[in-house]
Amino acid sequence: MFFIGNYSKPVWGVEITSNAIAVLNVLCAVVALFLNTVTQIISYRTILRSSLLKSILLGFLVGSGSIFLFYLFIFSRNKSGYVETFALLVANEIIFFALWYCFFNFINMGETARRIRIMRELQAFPEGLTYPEFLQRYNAREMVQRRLDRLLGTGQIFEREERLFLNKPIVLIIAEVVKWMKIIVMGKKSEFD
Amino acid sequence: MKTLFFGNLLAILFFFVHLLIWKIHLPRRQIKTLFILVIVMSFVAFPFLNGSKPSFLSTVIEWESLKALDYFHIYFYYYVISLMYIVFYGALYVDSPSLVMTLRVRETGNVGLPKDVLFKDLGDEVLVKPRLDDLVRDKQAIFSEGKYILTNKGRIFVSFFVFYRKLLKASMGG
Repeated sequence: MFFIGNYSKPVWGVEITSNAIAVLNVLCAVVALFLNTVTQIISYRTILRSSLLKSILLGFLVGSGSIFLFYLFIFSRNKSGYVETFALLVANEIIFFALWYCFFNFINMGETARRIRIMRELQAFPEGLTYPEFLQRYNAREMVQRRLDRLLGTGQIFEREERLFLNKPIVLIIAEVVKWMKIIVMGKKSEFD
Repeated sequence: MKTLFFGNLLAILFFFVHLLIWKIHLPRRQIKTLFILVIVMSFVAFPFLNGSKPSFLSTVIEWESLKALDYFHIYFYYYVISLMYIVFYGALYVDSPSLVMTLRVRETGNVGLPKDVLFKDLGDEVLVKPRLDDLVRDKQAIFSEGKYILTNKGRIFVSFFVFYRKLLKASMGG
């Protein structure tokens, strides 16, 4: 692996070997994900109670920033290897982003996914539920109302005289991107086509 | 540089093979097929990684042959990127009600979409039944004697989400 730098002098009184740095170099994205997760949980339970999204973004900043600081430290010890240092920074930031994206979707699924809610409802009844029994607990009306409340609450749409209109374009842009990706990858616009 | 080069190459190859297979025949269990494809591609690529030395990159940096940590880093990069794509694919595979609702509102333009039309069009047969059928197809639930019952596989899967929601002290979602 590429030579990280001169570690003959201890850092903050701790001896750091090149092997340790090489391993941390490979796993720093995982450490960043851990920092991201801890930050997200603590911030949501304390200062950011009203916004799950803000706690997720704060976690991302902490995780991504930790990788950046790590490579700033590496660079300070080995200025001649700046090309490789930069390449590793980029690679690990991409790995962290991919891990964070999976983490973000995991939280999002817990918050909004129908499948997870359906499974939680079934989990509460080990003997099972018939279709009509299930609909009494969770149904399309509740699904649509929750999403409507979310879209109205975030200002994506607004309501006037019992009719709905578009307001901010963010969700619309996402909807269009997803629609076109479905056409490219699956050859259809909807799961019902 | 090796991680970026080989990791991205593997990811791009995976994506093209995936598109090719999907154009020939859309698999019934698409997510499972994607996972299998990721593993198969990593084995297929291994002999080509060993001993690779792209000459154009050698002019930029000193190119040593791949060591164990390099292989680990490259495959870790590839697996994580592939996992991200599979998670994204999950969003493509199922129609998100929020996105469907937004597109429906957009279609009406300045006229606006009546709320009761939305509730009428997005009923239980559209939003609930297909998801229950998905659970049965993915063996996370069974349909027995007229009842939907969660399997052990389903219980284990949902337990991660329940645990994290408890950590956050959050309510039941949906």
